[in-house]
Amino acid sequence: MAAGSAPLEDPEALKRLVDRALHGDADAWTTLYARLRPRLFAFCLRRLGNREDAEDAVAETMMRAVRSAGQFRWRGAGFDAWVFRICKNVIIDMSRSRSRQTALVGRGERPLDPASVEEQAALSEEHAAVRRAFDHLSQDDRDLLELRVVAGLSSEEAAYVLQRRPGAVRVAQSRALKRLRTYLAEEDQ
Amino acid sequence: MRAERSMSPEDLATLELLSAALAAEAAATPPGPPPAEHLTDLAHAVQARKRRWGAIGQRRHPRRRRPPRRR
Repeated sequence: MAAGSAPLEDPEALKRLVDRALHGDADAWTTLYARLRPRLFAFCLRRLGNREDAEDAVAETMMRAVRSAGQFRWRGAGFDAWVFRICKNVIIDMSRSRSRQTALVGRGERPLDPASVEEQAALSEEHAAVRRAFDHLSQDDRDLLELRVVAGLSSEEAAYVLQRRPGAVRVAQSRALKRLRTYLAEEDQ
Repeated sequence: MRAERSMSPEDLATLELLSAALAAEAAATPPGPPPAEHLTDLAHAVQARKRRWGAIGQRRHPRRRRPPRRR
């Protein structure tokens, strides 16, 4: 289960919807936006750390998707992976411009909005432990696992977003999960 | 999260645990409905794209025809 919503419904229905969008159907774009929004938002929120930036990143992602719609081809990893690759670039651009404005925030010091501080307290201890262990992983490991878990992408789709080979991504995923288990075991001690 | 046949049971269990932890986080911070201005901007962008390029996905320039062979 993806953190936001189910990743895919009927692939044929999605293809028809995307084809309508590619032919300039604004309603189809709105439907695609509503469909992708929970996962895009969850992904952006994890990476950017606050609601406002996450909202802006989601909106910018969809605007860029519309503008570059002519470049989309079905022979790649699919529409979701294509949008998430755009999203990853939007996040990189926003992080760069933010780092110019403010001092860089170090790893493990991800700013949280006040609401999420309360939310953290409500989370079960097990979830909190998993998240602490997750924060110990390298940025590359977290990128990959967030694409798989938060964005709900398959290994092939995540490979497309990360511009790596699917086999390499599967190996990297297994290693990242092993490291996560190690950190979790350390949490237990 | 999508389970994949190539994954070991151990990896699958870890991924499910991580998925649950991050899903709880996402559920605690739901995105809410899309802001109306985003939808308006999106519709305008689609219209602008259509005006500028014709229907999205169509060729910008028709394929050139090969000139007729000289006799």
